[in-house]
Amino acid sequence: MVTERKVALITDGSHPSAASIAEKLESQGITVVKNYPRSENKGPIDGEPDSFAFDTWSYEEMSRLLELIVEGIGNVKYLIHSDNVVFRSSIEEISEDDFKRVVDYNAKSAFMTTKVFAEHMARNDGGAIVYLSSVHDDKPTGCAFAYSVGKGAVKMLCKEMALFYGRQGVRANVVELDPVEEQVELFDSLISPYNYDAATKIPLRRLAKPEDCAGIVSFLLSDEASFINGADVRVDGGHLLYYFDR
Amino acid sequence: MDRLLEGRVAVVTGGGKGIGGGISRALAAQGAKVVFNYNSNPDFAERTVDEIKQNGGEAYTCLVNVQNREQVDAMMQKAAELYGGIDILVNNAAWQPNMDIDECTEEVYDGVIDINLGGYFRCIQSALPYLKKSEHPRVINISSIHGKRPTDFDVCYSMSKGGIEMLTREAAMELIQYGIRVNALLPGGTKIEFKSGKTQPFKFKRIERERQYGFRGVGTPEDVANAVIFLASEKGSHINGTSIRLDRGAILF
Repeated sequence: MVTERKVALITDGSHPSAASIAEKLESQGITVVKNYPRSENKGPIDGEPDSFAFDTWSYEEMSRLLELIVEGIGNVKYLIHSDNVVFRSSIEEISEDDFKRVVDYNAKSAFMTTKVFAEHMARNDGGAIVYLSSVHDDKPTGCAFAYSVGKGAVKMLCKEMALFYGRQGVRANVVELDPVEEQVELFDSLISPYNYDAATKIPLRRLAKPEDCAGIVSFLLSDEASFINGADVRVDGGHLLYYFDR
Repeated sequence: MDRLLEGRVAVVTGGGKGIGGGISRALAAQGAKVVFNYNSNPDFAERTVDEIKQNGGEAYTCLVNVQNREQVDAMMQKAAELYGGIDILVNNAAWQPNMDIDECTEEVYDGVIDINLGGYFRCIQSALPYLKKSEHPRVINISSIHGKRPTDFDVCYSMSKGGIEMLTREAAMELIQYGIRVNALLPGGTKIEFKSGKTQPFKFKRIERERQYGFRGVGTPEDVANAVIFLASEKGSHINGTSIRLDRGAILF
């Protein structure tokens, strides 16, 4: 009997946590496919196995990506939505185009990758989705509102998917990561002190590291989490406890 | 009794019918001058204007698609020209197609997000220069209980409401520097003339609605309007960046 390969797709390989998640999954025998949206040349990436460049918010391109993965690698069992584009702007000053673009990058990409890959997983013995999101799907940024609007939409997408595809054997959960060290500057805000002195405020006395979410992502995808569906898991060292009561 | 919003100017998107109609009438009854747009049904809009005028209020309606920035800007400008400024913006216009992810096309997704979420953003940005000059500036985003709880029949709709939740919090934080309070209301099932979109399918047998919603059933546009009046008035001035469930506690059952 041939054991079928288990394939996971990371929708944006450039997410700071993508490498550590891939490493963790590969150590369990899972084949990890990485996609790089917003690339100039579309298609398989030369010289890099299991890597593709397609735009995640395009139904057409995601359908093409699914085709190529199924043809060349195998059926996709796990989807990790990692598109995460922070665009600094105020509500007062952002342009219409930038607003739309940022919401598309963060939310439409989640919708389209889910639409294409969850349906495929449902037809092929089920699977699991993790939306790799941010604490800013709950806590406003005060500097990048279109980003948190997009992440707020993804939070509801996950709950809908947990119902709709949950009945068809595909689970969906959200992981909300605190800004990692290299992102802290991106979230610098004149009106919210959230990231000021974060390392001393966070009870665990350090900032988030990209690899902090690899364990929970791999767990949520695994059969050990087979009854976890529609949950939001905060990975922030307790940072958000200062800001929300639940 | 003193009216709570005497002399204020309110803009209500989709204020001609449904929940928006109830809000327009209630704002006018409290002394506000109301400008609202319609996009699909001029008859309902005209009727709401007539009703407000018959009761001694002031109202103006115009055909505006909230997806179109120029039209939105023109509506805000018209409100300011007619009544001298804008104090209250009620974002209410929305589209609810009632489609699951497998039948929801890219076109439908784009439309729902651009109307429900883009429209709210567009109107806030467009009204901002006027709100900044107001002494009692308020933005009230009519969201839905489905900003918290999934619909199970309309994925894009609840995505848009999840986005409005964050838009409300971000706007509340950014715009308080101008004194602008931004809050959201989350109505549950509300009885209106008609709904957009196809009939909601039920995927499993529900317990009878009487039991689910307590003894009275769903809410009315007036229930939502009462909360709008409170938030818009001085009594609501310490409330900012929150979302209030208007569902008679249905979500708890």
